[in-house]
Amino acid sequence: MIGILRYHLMSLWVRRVGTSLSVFSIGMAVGILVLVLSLARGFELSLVDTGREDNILVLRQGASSEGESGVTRPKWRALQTYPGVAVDASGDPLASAEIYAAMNLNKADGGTANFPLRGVMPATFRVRDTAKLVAGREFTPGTNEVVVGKALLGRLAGCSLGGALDTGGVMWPVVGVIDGGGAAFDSEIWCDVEVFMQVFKRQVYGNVILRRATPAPAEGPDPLREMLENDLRLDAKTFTERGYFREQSGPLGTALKFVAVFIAGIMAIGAAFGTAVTLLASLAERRREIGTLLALGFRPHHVVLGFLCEATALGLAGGILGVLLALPVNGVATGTMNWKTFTEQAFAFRITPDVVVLAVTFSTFVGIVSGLLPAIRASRVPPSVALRG
Amino acid sequence: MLIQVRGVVKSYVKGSETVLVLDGVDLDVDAGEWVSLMGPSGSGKTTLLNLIGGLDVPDSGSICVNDDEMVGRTNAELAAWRSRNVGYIFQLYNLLPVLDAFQNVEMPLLLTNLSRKERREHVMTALDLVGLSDRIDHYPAQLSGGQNQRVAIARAIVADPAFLLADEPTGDLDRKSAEDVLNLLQDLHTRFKKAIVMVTHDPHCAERADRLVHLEKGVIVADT
Ligand SMILES: Nc1ncnc2c1ncn2[C@@H]1O[C@H](COP(=O)(O)OP(=O)(O)OP(=O)(O)O)[C@@H](O)[C@H]1O
Ligand SMILES: [Mg+2]
Repeated sequence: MIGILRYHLMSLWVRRVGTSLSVFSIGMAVGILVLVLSLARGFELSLVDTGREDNILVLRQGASSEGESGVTRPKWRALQTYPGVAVDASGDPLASAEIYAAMNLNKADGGTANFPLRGVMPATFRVRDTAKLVAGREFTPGTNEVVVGKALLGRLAGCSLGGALDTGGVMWPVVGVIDGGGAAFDSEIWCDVEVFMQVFKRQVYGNVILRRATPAPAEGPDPLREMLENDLRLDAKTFTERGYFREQSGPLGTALKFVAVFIAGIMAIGAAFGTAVTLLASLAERRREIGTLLALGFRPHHVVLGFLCEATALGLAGGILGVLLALPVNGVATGTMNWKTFTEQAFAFRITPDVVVLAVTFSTFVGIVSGLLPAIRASRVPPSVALRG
Repeated sequence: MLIQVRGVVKSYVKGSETVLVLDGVDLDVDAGEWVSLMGPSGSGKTTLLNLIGGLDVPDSGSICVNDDEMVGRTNAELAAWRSRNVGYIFQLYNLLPVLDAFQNVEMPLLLTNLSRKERREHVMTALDLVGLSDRIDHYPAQLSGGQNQRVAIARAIVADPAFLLADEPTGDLDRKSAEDVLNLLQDLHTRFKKAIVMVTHDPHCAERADRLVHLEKGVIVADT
């Protein structure tokens, strides 16, 4: 059985033009699939991999994101000293009050877009330590100084060490750069929370982030979070920091995947038809060869499998081609709107192994589907008729 | 008795009319016998050959090979039987153009359990027999008509079948190549005792056989 494959693969090779057309059309469909899926994957990774599992994000009851939340100063004071909150070496609680808002800022290439501005306390640098200061220094409390996520460098007007951001007349000197490792913090701007509230006339903080002293139980309810949420003074809703970001990725990631499947699906149907037509034409030319195979003692199912193998090979080659076509964009950064926070979010195309596996599986499937009709046709040819040419 | 054809009737439906191609054919072929089958075009020679080879099934009648009834078997059974017992030779050689001489001859062996090494030995023996062991890596397009027919004969005998079915094996060849092919068949016939049923239009070719059978309008009219 393996031996007869040589005949089928050689047949593909001899009909190079038709073969390449099929491979190319499948490859294009797969290329698009990989592009959009890697976009979705990059987007998810940028959010999913943000934050720590042992940080607790506290929002107002009824708020679904940081931007909608509000936490008053008395509540912040209560949260800061809550039992179960970790303290650093000097005895200060690892807790920080923040405020998060979308800011309309000038892009480097003209135009404006919303970018996330996070007012933070100096303690945030210790609590949200998945974001690392990689250049410059932290801002000086009480000033307009900001640190920016590394993905914003060059994307925003004035966004470089020594430069300054402009929010409609108020200037924000850039003094540091933070690296969130490809995650959400890479697209954020951090300033002093008190300055933020003064400039934008806010009375309350937005959210509080706490480091817990002891890890949450591996299973079952988390007593610390339950206590926080049941404390009537606080009126609080809690997330783990990671869990919160994971939730934020939901709608856009899903939408992108839908687009990927939709566009690639339509292209794949076209590619499958093209491949089926190519195989049928090849079958018509090879009737006598098929008759010969049958005369030699090969059985109809050998012929069916042979044609399916040809189709599978076309699909597989198309899949590999598609991945190769899409590969140059791997890691290329881009931005898109995060529809939950209404801010521009920087992230990169991520062609992860599972995207590759999915793409190649998909193309192989397209190949097999397109080979079904030709294969069944081939097996139906009576040998005595096929031999007449 | 190697092949025993009894009262075989075969008709084809073409559009609305039925064409009666074979109208009660009886034919016996002994083991090691060489039979030439002659007759005008359309008389049913190819059809009869295909029935004997199990490529087609008769409407009625019986075909026994080595006392085994062929009629009523499934296509898969017939294919398996064909691969072990029948060597086919065609007018237009029917080699697979995408494979070289060696690979073409190897095809029937892919249906056996022989190892790669054993297959290689069998193929080389067969190609040696037809005098083409120096052309193993040539493709059909790189060989002359006579050489192609010799490759096809090597393919027909490589699995050591009991008999050969040849449909106008010299029909597309010049005198000299035709003579070579006939000598080769003669050799296989005398040295290896292969039975041969050969369709031909050429009386000169037909003379090489032990026996001459004339088919006309679906019935055998002369058997000498
Ligand atoms: N599959 C088929 N469908 C319809 N008619 C067929 C089919 N096969 C053969 N025939 C008809 O049967 C008749 C006999 O055909 P066959 O090929 O056996 O003749 P032949 O003696 O081999 O002729 P030739 O010398 O030209 O090769 C012809 O009239 C042919 O048209
Ligand atoms: Mg004929």
